[in-house]
Amino acid sequence: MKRTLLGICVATSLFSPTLSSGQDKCQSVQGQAQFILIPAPNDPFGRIIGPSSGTLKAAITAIVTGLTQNPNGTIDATSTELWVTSPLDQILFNGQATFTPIAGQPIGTVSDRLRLTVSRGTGEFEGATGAIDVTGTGYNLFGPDAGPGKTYFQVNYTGSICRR
Amino acid sequence: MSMTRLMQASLALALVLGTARPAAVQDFKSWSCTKVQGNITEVVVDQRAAPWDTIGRVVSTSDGDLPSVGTAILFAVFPGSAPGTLEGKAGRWMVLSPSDHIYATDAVVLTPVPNTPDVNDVVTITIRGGAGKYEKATGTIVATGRGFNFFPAPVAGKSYFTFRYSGEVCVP
Repeated sequence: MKRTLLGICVATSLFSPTLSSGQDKCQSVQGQAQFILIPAPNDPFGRIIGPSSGTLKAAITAIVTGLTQNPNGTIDATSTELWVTSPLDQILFNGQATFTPIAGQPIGTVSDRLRLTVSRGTGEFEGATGAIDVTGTGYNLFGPDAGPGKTYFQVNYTGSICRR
Repeated sequence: MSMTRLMQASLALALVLGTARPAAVQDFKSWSCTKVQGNITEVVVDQRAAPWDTIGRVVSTSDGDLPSVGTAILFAVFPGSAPGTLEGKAGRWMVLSPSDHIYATDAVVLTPVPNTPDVNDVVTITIRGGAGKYEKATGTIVATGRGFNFFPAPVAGKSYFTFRYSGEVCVP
């Protein structure tokens, strides 16, 4: 019986600190952001810029790296997205988005579901992992008014970022 | 064509040209010009977020009279006219809201700060339009500041710039 208790104590002392420190390094994040299309002379599929508020207060820029139009009218996109939270702290994400046209809304209005997976970081985000889910609405993604000054997304984000 | 009709035609042409010419010249007297000032921070971005910007890209934020999120890309860097300096040309996009943007070109002068990896940086920002209320904007802004950890080469996560800016923005 004593051996069993000792074993439990040893196991607890060995594993508890690891679990607890691992949990402490993961942070739930949530907030809002705008993704705003700008002219992009060098980027083949365009570039967005925008601010975010909430847990990750950042200046964001992103490029679309791939676009696929689906038979059902939705559009899938892949992206590389950078969130700069301070001069030294950056999080780079790989993005996978689906844009779904919203019936009854002006042409080019879409719902946006975007999964951002951390690929690397600098400063406090060096070695970070995690992912955030972004949902919201895009305006003038296509159609007669599409273009810089007209095309933008209003989104919410929620997820978890784990620091090393 | 008689001489009279030729003269009439010439006069009409002269009138058309004469009245057309002033319309082609922009009348800036009616434009509204505003003095602006504030601070800009520029952060060198991870190259994976700017794979086609071979010389480099920054993400910027500004406060003051032009609060914005923005970005700029270097088009060219070359030895400056003053010994030891570097000069550059850049494109700049400042987003003040989803509909209001300022687009500009930059003339950059970088002067190494002795015994540091830093540079003093003076950027003359020439506004060349935009979107929304800045669609036809003009003006010039001068940003004066310092680039940190510029040498041996700008690196994401280490290199950034801080500026104080002042100038004038004119809109129709």
